[in-house]
Parts: sequence; C-alpha cells; structure tokens
Amino acid sequence: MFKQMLAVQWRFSRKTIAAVSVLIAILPALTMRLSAVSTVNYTPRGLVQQSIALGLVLGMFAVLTGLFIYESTWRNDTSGKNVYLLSLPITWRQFMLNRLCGALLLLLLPALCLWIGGVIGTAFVPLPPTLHVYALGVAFRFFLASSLTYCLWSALVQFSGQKATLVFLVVLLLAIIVPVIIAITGVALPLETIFRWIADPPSPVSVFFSRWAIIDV
Amino acid sequence: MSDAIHIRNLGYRAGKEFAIRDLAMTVPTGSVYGFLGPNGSGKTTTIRLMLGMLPKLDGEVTVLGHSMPEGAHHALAKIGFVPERLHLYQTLTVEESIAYHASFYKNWDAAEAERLRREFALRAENTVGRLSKGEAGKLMMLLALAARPDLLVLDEPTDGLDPVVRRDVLGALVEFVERKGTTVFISSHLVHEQERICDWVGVMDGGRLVAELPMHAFRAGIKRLRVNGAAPVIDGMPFVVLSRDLVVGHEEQWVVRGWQPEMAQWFQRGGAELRGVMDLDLEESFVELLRSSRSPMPEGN
Amino acid sequence: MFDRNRFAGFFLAAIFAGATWLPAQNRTADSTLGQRWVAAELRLARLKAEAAHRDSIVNSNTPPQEIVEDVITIHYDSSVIGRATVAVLRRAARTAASEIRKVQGDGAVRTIGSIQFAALPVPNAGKIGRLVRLRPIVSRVGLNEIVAPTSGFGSLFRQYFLDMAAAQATGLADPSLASWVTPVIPLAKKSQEDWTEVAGWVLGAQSETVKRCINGSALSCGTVLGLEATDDKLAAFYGPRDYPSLVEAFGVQKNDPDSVATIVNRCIRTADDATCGQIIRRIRVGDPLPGQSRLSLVEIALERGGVGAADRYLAGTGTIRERLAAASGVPTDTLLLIWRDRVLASRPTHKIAGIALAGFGWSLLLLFASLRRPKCG
Repeated sequence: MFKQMLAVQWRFSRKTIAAVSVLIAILPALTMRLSAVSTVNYTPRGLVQQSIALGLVLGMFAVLTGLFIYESTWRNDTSGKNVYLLSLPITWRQFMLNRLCGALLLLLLPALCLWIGGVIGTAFVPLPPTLHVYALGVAFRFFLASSLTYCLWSALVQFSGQKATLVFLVVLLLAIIVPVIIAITGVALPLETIFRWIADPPSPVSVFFSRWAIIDV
Repeated sequence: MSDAIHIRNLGYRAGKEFAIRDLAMTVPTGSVYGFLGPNGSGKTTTIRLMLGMLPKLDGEVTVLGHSMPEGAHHALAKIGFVPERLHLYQTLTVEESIAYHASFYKNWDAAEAERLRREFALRAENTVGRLSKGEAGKLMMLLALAARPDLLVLDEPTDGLDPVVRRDVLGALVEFVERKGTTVFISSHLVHEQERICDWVGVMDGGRLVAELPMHAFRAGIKRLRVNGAAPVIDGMPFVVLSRDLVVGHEEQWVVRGWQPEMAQWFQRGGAELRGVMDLDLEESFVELLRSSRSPMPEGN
Repeated sequence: MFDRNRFAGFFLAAIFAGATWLPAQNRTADSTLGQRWVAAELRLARLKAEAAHRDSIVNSNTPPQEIVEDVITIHYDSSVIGRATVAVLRRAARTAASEIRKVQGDGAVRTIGSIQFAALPVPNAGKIGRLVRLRPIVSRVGLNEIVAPTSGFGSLFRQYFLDMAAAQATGLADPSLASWVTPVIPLAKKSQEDWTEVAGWVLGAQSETVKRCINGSALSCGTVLGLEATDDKLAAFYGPRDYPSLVEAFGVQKNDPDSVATIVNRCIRTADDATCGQIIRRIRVGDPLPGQSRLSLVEIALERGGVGAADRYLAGTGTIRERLAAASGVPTDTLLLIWRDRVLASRPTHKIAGIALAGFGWSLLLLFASLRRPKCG
C-alpha cells in the first residue's frame, strides 16, 4: 500500500520535483560560474558572502518546494472533495502517516540533488585553506525546511474557518497592533531575546536562521 | 443473520436549509435495496453518513456489524462503493488506478478486475480524466466489484449513462450478485431501473424516509380507486389514503396504500360505491407516495 | 507480512537518529588546523574557569541591585569604567542631565515626582514624543564594570548612548590610542554573534599575513591588528598570491590609460607574478581586517586583566603593545595567541542536532495537528 501511495504521489508531483531538483542542482554551479565572470580570483570573503546570498535563495526554494509538493500531491484529493480517500478502508491516521513518509522521501530528492549540485558546483572553485564546502549541511537544511513547510501547510489547510480566523487575528495582533501599542506606551521589548526565541532551537523556524552557506569558514 | 445496514434515529444538519431527522432504515443481508428519492432528498448525504464520510449529529449507524464512523475502515474493507460522480484521480491511467485501489483491499481479485476491464473495453493506458462518462462509470463499477465486497453501495451508478452502458453496468452487477449473493444498496431516482432489480425499497424525501417496504408490497399495495358518493370524512378505513381528488360530480379518485380486494365491501357498508380499481406502476406509486408525504391527508380521511 | 505502521515508525526514527549524527558543518577536516582548534578549546576552557572564579569574587562586592536600579539618570563618562559603586553612580547622575540636554535640548530632562525622565522623539512618528524613564545598566568587560544607559527604546537607544559614551572615552584618550582604534574601548561585551563576525573577517581575509596569523604566528597577528609599524602595507600584509585579487579590486582607476587596463586584465587572467608585480605598486592597498577586529583584542585584554584593566589600558603610556600588556597582565604575544584561539573557536558552528530535532519535532507536532479527518464535500 505504501509503495502504491508513494507511486501515486510521485506521479502527481514528479514534474514539480524534477523542475526544482534540476534548478537547485545547477544553482550552486551557476552562482559560482557567474561570480567567475566578474571575479576570476575569488576572495575568501567574497565567496562566503556569495554563498550566504545563495543560501537565502535556497531557503526560499525550500519553502516553495514544500508548498508545491503538498499542493501537487493533495490537489487531486481536495478537488474531488476527499470522497475517494474517505471511501478507502484505512484509518485517517494511517493514511496521513503513509502520505507524510511518502512526502519525506520525495522531498529527499531535491535535497540530494542540491548536495550533488553543491559538491560539483564548488569542485572547480579554488578554495583557500580557511574555507570549506558544506554542501551536505545545506542540503540537509533544505530537506528539513521543505519538510517543515510541508507539515505546516498540511496542518494549516486542516484548520476550520474559525481556527484560521483565530490564527489570522493573532498574526494581525502581533504584526500591527502590538508595535502600535509599544510605540504609544513606550514599553520596552526585549527584542534581542525575542529574536533568539525565534532563531534558535527549539523554535520551529530555527532551521531558516541557521547557516545556509555552501562555502563557509 | 443480522442486517447489513441498520440505522436508528440518524440526525444530520448541513447549513440552515437541509437536515436529516430521525432516520431509521434496515437493509437485510442479501437483499437488493433500492433507495429512491427525488434530487436533493438526502440520498447521497445518507450514504455518506452510512459510510462514515460525514460526521453524524446523533443516532446510530451499523454497517456489516461495525458501528460507524468509528469502525469505518473495517467496514469499508468489505464494501464496494460507487459514488455519484467520478472520484478517482484524474491524472492516473486506468491501470494505475486499479493498482492503487487494489493495494487497499485484502480480498482484491486481480483476475476478476482484468476480466471486467476487458469486458468493459477499458484501455489500461488511458488516463482517468480522459475517459467518457460511460467508461468512468464502468471503471468505478469494476473497482467496486473486484474488491469482492459483502456490501455494494451504489450512488446513482447509471445516472447519465447511455442505455448500452447502463445495460453493461447493471448486467455486471446482476451477475455478480447472483454469483456471490452480495447485499446491494442502490440509490437512484430512476424508478424503472430499481423495479427490475430490487427486492426492497426505501423512499426518501426532504431528509426523511417516507416509506420502507418489500418491493412486492410496494408494487401491489398501492392502487388507484374510483369512488362515488363517499362522505367527506370517513373513520376506520382499513387502508391508507395517500390522495383523494374530485373528478366529476360526486366521483372521486383515491390513491391508497395497503389495498386488498376484500376491502371493496367496506365502501358498500359506508354508503359509497367503488366503481373501479386500477394498478399503478412503480413510478406512479412513487410519485403518489411523495405527494402524500409532502401534503398528508387530514386525520380521519 | 509487511507492517506499514512499523515501517513508518522505523523510517521516522531513522531520520531522527541520522539527523543528529550528520556531520554537516562540523569543523574543518583539515587535520593540522583541527588539532590547533582542539588545543585552543582547552585553553579557552581554562580561561573561562579562571574568569568564572574572578566573577564570583567580584559579585560578592557588587553594589546591591536595587541601588543600581534606583539611579534614574543616564550616565556616560569614561570615569565610570571601573567599579559601579554607589559613589560612582551618584557622580554620574549629577553630570547626566546636562549631557542629555546637550543632545536633546533643554526640555529633554524632566522630573516628575522624584523620578527623572528624558523626553525623546519617536523615530518616524511625526510629533509624537515619549517620556522614557532612564536608568543605567551595569555591564561587565572582564572585571571592569561599565555603566551604560538603557531605556524604553531598547537596544537601539542603548547603542546610541553606548556609541556616545565610546566617543567620549575616545576623546579623553591620548591620540595614539585613538588613532589605533575607535572607539578606544568596548562598552558592551561582544556577543557570540559578534565574535563569529570577527572570525568571518579573519578567516575570510585575502592576506598572506592573516593566514600566517591563523597558523599561529603571533607576530603576524600583531601586524594585521596594527600593533607593528607598517609603512609599506603591501609588503606587510600581502603576498604575491594575493595580488590578482587586489589588482582586480583596485587595479584600474578612472583616468588610467588603456595600457594599464591591459596589464590588469593579464594579471587577473594569468595570475603571473611578474605581470601583477608591474601593476601592484600603483595600488593603495588597505588593511586586511576592519578596525573593529582591534577592539576585539582590547576586549580580550580587559577580560584577562581583571580589576583596573581598563584604567591601566586608558591611562597607560607607551606603545599599544605595552598598554595591552599592562592591561591584560600577560605578554602581548601571548595575548595575541589567546585572541587568535578565541577567533578560531568562534567560527560559525552549526547546531545541526538542535535544528534537526526542532525541525522534526515540530514536523511531527504539525502532523498530529493535521490528523483531523476531513469531511467530504
């Protein structure tokens, strides 16, 4: 059953996965090549900065990959009003677990491509001894970020209208009302501490704040 | 043997307009149960509640001995379901759809699936989204039958199909039922189709089950009577008057349920004259039943 | 029989286990450098233990917290670098109001009841103003307590006053110190992120001398941190391998003839020593490290030096080397190697296990959140 569910998920999302995989596999090489056009002699700092910039792009790709793969694998069910999956003799929990395992396997593919692409793309860069390639680490972050996005989106779309409204209101409160109140009342916010909460584990988004540089010191 | 489907006091509400109230229904094991009702009467909703696809508000639903929706995954393993509309993944091929569906059923009969695919002339490599309505109906029936179910739940399985395809689909169904003795629950508004194959009938209207009886009782028990000189209010009638219309002068036309020939004497004792008794076909009976459920006769008539 | 639940469980468990062991972004595989880091770590651990011991002694003499909190004025003056005693804080309070008036105008400091407030504009808020209760905070650089203001404006506002304090301290310092590093003294302890930034500068620098420093040459570290006289920056900081990068970055000026551009291009393309040598002398090269890296050396010196280190550093005479040695109580070469070790230990480490556990943990939580069976239709 898992094999069939995986095969069907692959069938639904293979174009998306192929496109994303190819893109992120060539992105490191492309970035290094583009930099070679302007800088034949790579400076270590320049390389690191460039890798950090590439990391930002990869982070965004990870989010988009998670979303696209969720959408492509679930679109058929939601457009069919879930009639088919609810008529199958399987508990919802089993179904979701199988789907998630399948999705994780599918999300591994772009991450693997990023790893290979990162290794190849940086292989021709003359690295000074103080710099190193961290393609595997970045690929793992990519996998983690895309999986997290997949699960987050999966939970969000399950929300009822009331819950979605509640989440929206909380976000609105945090984004707009709180800063206004702070500006008026002059209450001091421990911004640095708040940032640490957001950026460090066990924050759910800590993966996005970690080092995404393929080439780093 | 226990009933295949047993529903008591089922309640459900969808928005402000539609509700199912106090629904009670029994589908005997081995029967072919025709579930009749006009469009929007609640047939599909009842089926979804029955299969655990919708959460019920109250009441109890037992299907093949499993309480629903808690035991849905156990019950669904023994149910072949053909929904109202094509529910399969549109981008898969026929072959992929069959393989995917088969992986969920322990009793899947691959040989039977292949035989039906050939019989229905379904090409394995065609994608589901490109199948004609008839081919899609055949594929859904194939998937329902090849699971070798104990219960077949068919929601308007032949709706919109041309006569040839309808004959193929119903033929496969009848053959399967004859071979395996499966219980069939078939919902439709095509009354003639039900008349041919069903041995039990349930009639749904406005979220209520207005009648549930064996097909022979349904067919034989509803009659149209021509009555002359009947009093406006009569007590102690041995049958149920579904409708009573004035035709000309003092002659009226009655539609009654539970008619027996010896009841003719009752008119003479009441000073009225019974001028004729006419049979109704199933469709006319169905229409009269709905009329009477929507505007019931006052008490005493 | 194939058990899907068990398979799924094993699959998730394997990912968890694998993730925490993944050697991503660990330290360099370069064995020599790796060994040095291990040694650096050991040294750092010893230093931390020493500093903790000293802290415990100082804490016992620190003025009660409520006294520090009750002083409701802004204070910035180089004289407070030292112990934040009650007397120091009171003296600071007397001078603070006038300092604020200089910055914000006469009406800026108001007394409501017995509490002083600063009336400050809210950035980008038009005519809206805000009364902010001001009080100093005491931060510590090594054993030197530094009184700095804090307020409702949070870290941004605090930084503003810290910068002012630093500027004032620089103004009070002698010119040789001020020309070596500005500001002359760190008024806030560097965070781990700040040190990581310094590590990025050092490890990312295109300079033969910086590389020698990384490899353990105290002299080279002193050179790149400006402790040695360097009339010829090119010779002091850069080697032939650095030339092509320097040439590419600074080689062609606006009014240079085409012939210069030709040589520059050849140098960039071939990295030939002779070609690059032709053009490199035309270039005014800069320091390989930003000035802020020097301040990190001062911080190390103050940390090492204990009580009075800041005063010895600011009040001392002689070369920068001698001042740092006086402040830290160790020879400058040793101090430079401690600095180098600290820099290498501060290179960005990647908490892969933490983020992996957090990521998968949240993924699982979210999965459970999405286990609500959907309705059809």
